[in-house]
Amino acid sequence: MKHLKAANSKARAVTASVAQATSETVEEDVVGMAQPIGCTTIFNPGWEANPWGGASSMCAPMEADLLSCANLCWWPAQVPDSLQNAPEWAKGCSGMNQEDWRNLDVVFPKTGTSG
Amino acid sequence: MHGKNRPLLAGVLCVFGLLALPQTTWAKWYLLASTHPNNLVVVDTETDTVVKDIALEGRGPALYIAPNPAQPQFAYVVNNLAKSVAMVDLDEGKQVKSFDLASDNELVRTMAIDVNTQGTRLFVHEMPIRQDLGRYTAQDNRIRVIDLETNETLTTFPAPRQVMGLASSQDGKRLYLFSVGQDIFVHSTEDGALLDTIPLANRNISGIARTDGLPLGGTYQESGHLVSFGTFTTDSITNQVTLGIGSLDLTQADPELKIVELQPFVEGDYVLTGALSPHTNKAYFAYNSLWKVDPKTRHIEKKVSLSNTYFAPLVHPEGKKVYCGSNWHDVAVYDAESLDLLTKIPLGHSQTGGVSVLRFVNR
Repeated sequence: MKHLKAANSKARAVTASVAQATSETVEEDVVGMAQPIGCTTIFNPGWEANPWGGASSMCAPMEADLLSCANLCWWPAQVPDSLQNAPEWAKGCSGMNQEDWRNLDVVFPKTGTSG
Repeated sequence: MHGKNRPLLAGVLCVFGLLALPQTTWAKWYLLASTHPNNLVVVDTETDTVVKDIALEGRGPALYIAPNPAQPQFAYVVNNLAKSVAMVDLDEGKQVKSFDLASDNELVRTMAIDVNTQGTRLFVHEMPIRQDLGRYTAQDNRIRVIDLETNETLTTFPAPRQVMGLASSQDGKRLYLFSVGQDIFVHSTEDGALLDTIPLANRNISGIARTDGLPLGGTYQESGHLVSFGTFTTDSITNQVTLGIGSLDLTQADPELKIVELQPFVEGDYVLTGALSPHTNKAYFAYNSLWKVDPKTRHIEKKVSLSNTYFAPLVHPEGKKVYCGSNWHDVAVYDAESLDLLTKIPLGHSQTGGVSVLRFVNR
């Protein structure tokens, strides 16, 4: 977190919470792995990169992990949130590797919500 | 006795002899695979062909599988967006019950389930969120203990967060919890008390900053209660990461976590996890390649390219084949010794990736 700078109210709340927990020597209950499970560490859609900054350790072909990443929200930015907001996203292409994966839905951000 | 009756008598004795053998010596191993949209596929591992494709009820995807070692007719599968556990009758080829984890004001999901060796308890790691108007509040995580004779919840006890793997000791007295970025927690299955913590992330070894590892794709009960998984050890000075193999023998009352560091963890050899064969003690890793390492010599004995990414290598319980899968629409079967491709088993749909979506069961 020390390399990130809070840019909105929610992020500032997280920073304040972490600072408070540190000052109260509260033990963190959510811990990351030094070596992330998952092949990307970048959260910008279309800019997947592995922990080495390259792409050679990504799944080949990309369809090999697209659905499994969506299932469990491994890639929260790159694929639709199929657990909560877009559960039907892959309905038209449930056997993606044998079907035409252009049948996947396109998901747009919801309008009229603050954020 | 007339000589002409001897072949008949020998045949009868042979049949009785076979029936008297323990089930595991004559029953066949089957592979269970979770697939999209919400299916459990059963594969005969003698012929490596699909023998059943069981459509589960409600919403998918079908995720983690826990076979019942004592009653292998039944298997348990997480589905319904990770909010339910379906009980599946493999003989009948249908879902017979669903354990729904959520309630009216609590959203509950799971990423780890296990059935003990005795087949009497289903353990579910629950991640509850309280739903109030306009507000979600994360609740403490817990283990739900379900009595499989009555299918009723016996108790719940507190558990750490981010648990992605559960395993029971062979005697059923201890439950091992594998959690992202933490040590291994050992709880009593009697009262849920924390009995022990096995250092993994915090091994306190000079020169090692930390070690990560999760038994993803674990088939520990099928492997003689040997839990094995890939480990990633970070050097405290150079920050270099080393790939290794970790193992925990759950036949022991107080098992020791064994970690053997094998090779630098580099981009070209990226993996999510690995597996140790209890038959040959060779370690297998798979992702975009499949390779076999002898942990004693750290020598890579064989390495082959895969036609596409497979998340997990699973050693067949009899040790002669390695099954690569968990995310693609087929499972690739390799000879455990030569790593020659034996066959690919088309499942009909993509697998759902993640943890323990492939398990073996002896029927």
